[in-house]
Amino acid sequence: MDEVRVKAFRALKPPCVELSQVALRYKGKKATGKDLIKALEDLQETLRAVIKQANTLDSKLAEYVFFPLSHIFRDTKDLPIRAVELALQCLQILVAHGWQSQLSPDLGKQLLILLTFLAGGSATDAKVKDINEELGSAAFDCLATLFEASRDPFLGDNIIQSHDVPILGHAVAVMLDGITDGPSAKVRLAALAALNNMISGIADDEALKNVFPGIVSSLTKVLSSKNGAKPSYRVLTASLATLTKILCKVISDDEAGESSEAQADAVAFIEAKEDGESSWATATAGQVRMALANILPLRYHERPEVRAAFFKLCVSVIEQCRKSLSQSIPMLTDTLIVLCSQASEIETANIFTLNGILAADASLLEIVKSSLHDWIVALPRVMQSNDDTRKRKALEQISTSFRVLQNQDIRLDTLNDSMAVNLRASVTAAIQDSSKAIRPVPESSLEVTQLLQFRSRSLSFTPVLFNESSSRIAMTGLQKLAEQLKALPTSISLQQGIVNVNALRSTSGDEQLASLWLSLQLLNDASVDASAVDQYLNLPPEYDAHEQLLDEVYSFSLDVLAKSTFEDEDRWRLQALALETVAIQARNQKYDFRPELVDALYPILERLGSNNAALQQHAMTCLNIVSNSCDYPDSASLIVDNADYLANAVALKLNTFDISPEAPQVLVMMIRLCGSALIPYLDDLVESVFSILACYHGYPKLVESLFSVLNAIVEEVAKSSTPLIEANSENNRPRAYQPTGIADLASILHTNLEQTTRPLSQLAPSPPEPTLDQDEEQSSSPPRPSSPPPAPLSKTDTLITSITSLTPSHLTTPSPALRLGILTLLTSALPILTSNTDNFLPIAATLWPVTSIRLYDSKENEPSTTLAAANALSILCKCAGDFLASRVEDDWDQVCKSYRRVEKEMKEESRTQSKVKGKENEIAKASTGRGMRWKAWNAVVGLLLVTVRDVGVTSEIEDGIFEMLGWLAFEREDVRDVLEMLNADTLWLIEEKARGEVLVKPHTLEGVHFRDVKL
Amino acid sequence: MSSACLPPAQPAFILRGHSAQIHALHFTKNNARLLTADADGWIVSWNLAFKRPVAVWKAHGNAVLGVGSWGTDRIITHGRDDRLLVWELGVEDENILDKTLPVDAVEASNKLPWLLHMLTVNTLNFCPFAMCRDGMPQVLSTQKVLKDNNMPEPILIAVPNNIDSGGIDIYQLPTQTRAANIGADRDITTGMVMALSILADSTRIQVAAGYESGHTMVFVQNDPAAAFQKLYSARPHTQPVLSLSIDPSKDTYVTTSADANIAKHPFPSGKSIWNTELKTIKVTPTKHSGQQGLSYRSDGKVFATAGWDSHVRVYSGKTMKELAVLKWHKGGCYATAFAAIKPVTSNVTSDQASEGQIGRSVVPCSNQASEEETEALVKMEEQSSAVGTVQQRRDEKARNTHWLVAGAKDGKVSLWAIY
Repeated sequence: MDEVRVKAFRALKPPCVELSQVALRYKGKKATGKDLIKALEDLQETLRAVIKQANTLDSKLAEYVFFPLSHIFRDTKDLPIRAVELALQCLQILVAHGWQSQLSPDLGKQLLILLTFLAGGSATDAKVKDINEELGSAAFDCLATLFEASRDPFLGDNIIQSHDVPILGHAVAVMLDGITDGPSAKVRLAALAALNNMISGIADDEALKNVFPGIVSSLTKVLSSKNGAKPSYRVLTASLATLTKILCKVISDDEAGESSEAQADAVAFIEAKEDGESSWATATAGQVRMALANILPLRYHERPEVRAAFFKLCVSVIEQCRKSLSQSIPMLTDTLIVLCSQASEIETANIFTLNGILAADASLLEIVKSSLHDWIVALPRVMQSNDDTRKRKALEQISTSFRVLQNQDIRLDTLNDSMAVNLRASVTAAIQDSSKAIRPVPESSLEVTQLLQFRSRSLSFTPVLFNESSSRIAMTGLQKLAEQLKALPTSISLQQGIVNVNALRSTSGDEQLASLWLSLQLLNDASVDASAVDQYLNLPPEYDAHEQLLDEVYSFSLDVLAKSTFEDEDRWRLQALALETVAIQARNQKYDFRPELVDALYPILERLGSNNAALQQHAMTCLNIVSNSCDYPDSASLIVDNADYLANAVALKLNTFDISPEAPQVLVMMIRLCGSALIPYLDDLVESVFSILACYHGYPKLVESLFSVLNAIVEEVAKSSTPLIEANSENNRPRAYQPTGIADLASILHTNLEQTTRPLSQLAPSPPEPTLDQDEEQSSSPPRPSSPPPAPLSKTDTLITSITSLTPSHLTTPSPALRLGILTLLTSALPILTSNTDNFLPIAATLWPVTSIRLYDSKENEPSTTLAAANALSILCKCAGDFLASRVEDDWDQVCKSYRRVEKEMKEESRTQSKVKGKENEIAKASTGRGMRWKAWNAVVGLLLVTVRDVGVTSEIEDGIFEMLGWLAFEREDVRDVLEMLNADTLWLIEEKARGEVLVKPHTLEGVHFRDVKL
Repeated sequence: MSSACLPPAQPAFILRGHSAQIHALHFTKNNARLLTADADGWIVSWNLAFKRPVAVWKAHGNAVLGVGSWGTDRIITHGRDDRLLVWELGVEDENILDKTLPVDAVEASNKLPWLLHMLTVNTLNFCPFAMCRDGMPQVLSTQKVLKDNNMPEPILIAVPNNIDSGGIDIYQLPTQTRAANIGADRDITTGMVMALSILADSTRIQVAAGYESGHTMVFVQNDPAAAFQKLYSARPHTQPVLSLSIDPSKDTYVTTSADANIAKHPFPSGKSIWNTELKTIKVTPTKHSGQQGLSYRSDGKVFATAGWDSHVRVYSGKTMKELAVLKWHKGGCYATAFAAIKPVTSNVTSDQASEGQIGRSVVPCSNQASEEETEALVKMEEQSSAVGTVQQRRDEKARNTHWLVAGAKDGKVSLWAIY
């Protein structure tokens, strides 16, 4: 006995003595349970202190300490549970550190019986009392330590003699009870640990085999428990570990044969040797298979720890029980895949393990392959279901198996066909599923032009399919799978199977959508990979299969897009995908894509005009991508640069009377962007527009949109040709009013005199003769002898001419908005045409009646139309000048009537608008706050002014003008200027009159006789 | 072909840019370029892959009557300003030339392609020139020089005579000498020459001519020293002949006129002792008067005419049955051209075509590539199996499309991908 032990002995002696005394006194009712517990605690503390130094306890000391403890164990029934628990803990220390492996078999057996009793009651009298939780767990802990300590010598050879089997069996039963029915996780875990230790400690196979079925079934029960109370994950983990251990120990290939034998001989051995043994093995294998099947749901357990444990189980079984449990292998292989496919950091490592296992055994690969096939075949059905997690799992499994097989360089050619078919079916199912809850497509009211101005720079598409969050999982899964398929080195044939253009073209609806979607997933960025490969292989300039596929899908997409949006409104998702294809192609071909714009650009822009906001957004993104890829600074310059292609496409569309609403929108946008440079190329297009107008004039929406095109054309031309008009406008104006001089007066008087002296004299007009002579003007103006022969009309001018001459026939349209539009169009078109008089005057002649009708029409009573008509007429007068004089004269009554009408309306309006204010203020007010009727009136006033200034009026009309506008001369400078020019004298007269001065007839002037003038 | 259930054919593209009516069309550079010529004297060379102009210049002060190509890089234009010009226009020359289309051009650009030859010819007749490769053995020294310069082989140009508008002059290029002359017929009043076609094989020269009176005649010269013999004469039309084209098989030729008839004639190469009286093979009354711009496709299977009624019609080369009516233009059409199509080797017709020289049809509508071009085309076809970049593929596609183009009064050229 060395010094340490002596020291330990000294330390232990007092608490031991104390304990036995207390125990005795307690027996004699002389000590309370408290004292006992106190003593036990002291002992425990001392023990703990002692074992801090290694090797201090030996079996002798242990026996010494055990003696007082045995008192306790003897009377466990009467002692407080806490005391027993403490005693057990002390015992555990003793077993673990004292006896260790030197525990004598007898003592061991006794301890086993004792502990089993404590943990679960007696073998004969089962469940006499409820086991206390703490006590139970302490007992199990102790058991575990016992098994641990007594590894080989005691359990294997010594204890478990054939007659001892019942004891062991009982112990196992207690442990299993603890595991299955333990009141708390702690107890269960302790029981599991004990069982675990027992299994690893036991050396007698026979004994283990005897208890094996029980253990497996109990563990299975725990693992597959479906009732509400879920066992804690630690219990599950431990159970799985235990199960792994026992399976490997009992029925591993080595075990089934003979442990010493090499594995290679194992099979032969099984068959050659022991028939009884093999029948047992077969029966057990069946049972185990069922047990394993029962615990399979655990592979989806949410705790990674549990899955990790399950993984270990699978791996161990596959590695060690390859033959004995051959029936279970496929199941477990599947499970491995499933476990690997559940993404988490822990499990990435598992993949390596899995790969290792598979690499070692080709037959496993076959299993994986066949389960992959099954999964693929089942996939469409899964996708139809509502269970999202199931979908995700299915996809993940397929994905993982693909990866695994790929790592093993397995050729999957045999799977290709079914893969392609089922993938397509799956996507179809997924689409159908997701479109069940179809949301109304958001409408977009944005015009194409506006869209371009927004300059959205987005370069990525928002997914059109699987928008709903619920189906997003399915989508990402499918996408991932597609990604993987793409990465497969041998995937070309598979891809060709999936990207099957025949399938694309022959299918329809969701199926077609699915095919296109899948193709896109596969083709996206495909060439990037390809080129990287080719770099190293130094292949000839590649026109590889990828590109070929892409080309095929691209041409299909163009076909889809070529169809008018008008026809398949509800197939917008297909169109959106087609747009994506175009974008991909553009990305791949970069600058080389430019010639493709011949066919591709218009369809994109056409979708910009769509009512469907999502499709519109898609088109915008596609346009951005295309302009990026083709090296254009922005989409506007892309359009400007390719306006010829667009004009061609639109013209061909319109030529076939394709009256989709997008075409005019695109045209307007093009025209606005390109300006007048584009106009000469649009002549046939305008022709088509008019022939469509002729056929469809009953459809106001369409007609309006077409007129917006014409409007845009005219406006752009007008913008570019303004200076020309200014230079040209000084030609055929009426002469300005010249104040009547003395000489004139004299001649007038002279003629007057002549007239009066003549017998058949006509009454001279009461006001002085106007200075301008209409007839003279007329005769002198048209010839223009000095002007050179007019140059032939440019294409632009011809175009505007034809627009101007064809448009007025549509003025009879019932839609006020359209009438307004046409009048505005005329207003901007007329100035352009003035440069060529010969061409313009006939137009002016035809325009006057149709336009003026709009002004006169009192039924119409639409101030905006009146306004526009007046403006158009003003412009017409301004441009045509005195050419229109006779027409104005003919229509004068109508004009006056119209003026009175609008004046009346204006006044009524202003009265209703503000009854408080006086009329004077009203009119003086700035026009900004005015109503529509005021504006209309103002325009008519403008028309009258223009008529006076540019067309010239006869004297009768002049009177009327003064009558109508005279009162305005005080307020408005423009009116005053014009009236002054017309006849300053009359103006003066009116002003005087307004001032209220009475004009007195001069009394005497020599030689002159004044007549009475009624003013 | 065009059956009742099909929607009316639509052109694949419209080339806009001429402001005057189109008078002549011609495919060149293995169908990579299309030359269009208008009544103001403008020539535009279009890249058919991009459908955009690569060279625009004003070649003549007056209307262009005909356009042709000589080798791959030479362009022959024939204008009413009494000139026949030969321009050098290689692919690299395109870079320096103007690309502003006549519609946009304020005034003619002074950038012109290099001018190689100029002949002063008669253009009173509106008759475009006809050309073919000169089969005459060359003087050794000249040939050497020509080879050195990497020149295309010499050609013969047939145009109406300068003074005698019923006669025909034949010039040789590059020497610019008058090689032969055919006088106006003394017995028949033929009026002016309206359309010409010429074919030469070693020392033999064959000329087909159409006249104002509706006559058409074939002249053959078997020896440079001998005079031209009139081997065939017929009057299938009551109105002036408008266009004329030799079948690629070189056995027959077809004429159109201002009346509604289309007539197919024999194209004898020599006096046959068996059959002294040659007859018109077939006259088809089409009921559509005023068809011009006749052009044969290089395989001889179809030919097309441009109608004054704004329709382009496609006829079977064998039966002269109407196969398709293409309607897009609003105004009358004046010219058509076919892109040369891949020679099918099993086809006897095209075999012959590639063996011998290819005759130039009446030029404004000539669709036949000269022999060098055909050979180059064949070579291209062989290479096309090893397809190159996207760009090359696209060019390839544009070249191999079976284009039929038509030019009209409205200054537009419609491209149709049919047959």
